Amino acid sequence: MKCRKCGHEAVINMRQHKLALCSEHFLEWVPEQTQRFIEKYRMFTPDERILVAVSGGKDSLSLWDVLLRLGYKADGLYIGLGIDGGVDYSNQSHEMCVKFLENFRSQISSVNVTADDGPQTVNTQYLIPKLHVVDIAKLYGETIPDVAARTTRGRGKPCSVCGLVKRHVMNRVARDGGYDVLATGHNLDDEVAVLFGNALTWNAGYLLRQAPMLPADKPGLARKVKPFCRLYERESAAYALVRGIDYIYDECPFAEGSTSIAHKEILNQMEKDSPGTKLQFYLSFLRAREQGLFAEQAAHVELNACEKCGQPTSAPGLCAFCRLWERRITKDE
Amino acid sequence: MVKLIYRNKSWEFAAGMTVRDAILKCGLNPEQVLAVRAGKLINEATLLKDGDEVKLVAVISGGVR
Repeated sequence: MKCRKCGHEAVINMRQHKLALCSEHFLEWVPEQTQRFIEKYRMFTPDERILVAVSGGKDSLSLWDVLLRLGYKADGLYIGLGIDGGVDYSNQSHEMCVKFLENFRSQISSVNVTADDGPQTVNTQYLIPKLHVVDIAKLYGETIPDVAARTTRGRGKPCSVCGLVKRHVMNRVARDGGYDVLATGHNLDDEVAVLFGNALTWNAGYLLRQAPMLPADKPGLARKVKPFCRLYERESAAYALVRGIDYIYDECPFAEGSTSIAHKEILNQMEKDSPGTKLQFYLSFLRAREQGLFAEQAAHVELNACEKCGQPTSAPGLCAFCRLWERRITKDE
Repeated sequence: MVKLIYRNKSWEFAAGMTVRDAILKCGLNPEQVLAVRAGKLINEATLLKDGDEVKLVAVISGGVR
């Protein structure tokens, strides 16, 4: 199978696009597509500062790589969750992020910039990205599995607590750090798996909040974007492999057997038999959303500022995050 | 013979089939794995030759069977 652009041997065939590409053209195609969707969904502009949530996995590190290569001012945020799972998961994930940054910095420092009128002095202040690290146990005194063990939230699995904590921390670091936008590495498979789950129960509230770009339309909320939302998970993994990004292959030990993975498998079964199913599902949803299918729900969403941390919350008083730690304080007393 | 390796499992088949067919023969979904031969990503239509060893990389991290 040959690359459609140059005729060399293809490394990937994207059946939903009827497009096979060699490594060189695939490495060009992914950033081109990402840029296209950044513009299409009005995610951010070149002047804005981006905070990329990185986990050490293929999606977030590939996204960070692509944004930096596109010339965006993108810093990383790693949240240490304190998950061991028998594989030292959190520490390994952190190492991958640090390694990525070291590699990127060494590439930047070895770049010789020349112009028509000779070598140029370049202000690299914005070219060299930073990695913010928030260690949950150091900051709040407990790891995510510890918190999950003492609450009923998530019925024994830490995923719900983890999601809540991550959302809070990401929003806080974005806001306190003066970032214009928070970017996550969600790919199309992530999006359709969530969509599938929410469509099974017609959860209109969740469906309404699923979008490539969520504006910062409430005080204290950072704008959230998913620049890889149109990229298949397969393409994101292929990008990391071809680009030579070292990432953590095993996802969180707690993700095994999760509903979202089961949904991904069902959707991939359909994709195998009918290429483009996942993409069509997602695009049709975005069109329906755009046409106001869930508009009625929007009027009912009202947010208040949390009494303690000031972040938006649906209920008056403390937000769910602060209630989580409040319970620990009460218990300790 | 060609050898396919996926996590802690391996399969051996006669040479001459495509990567996609070999993946299907392993009982895996080609949408969910990428094939790597000698450290390089190869496309699904690649014909496997005698002596090839192909590592299958899971696309979905986590609990994919």
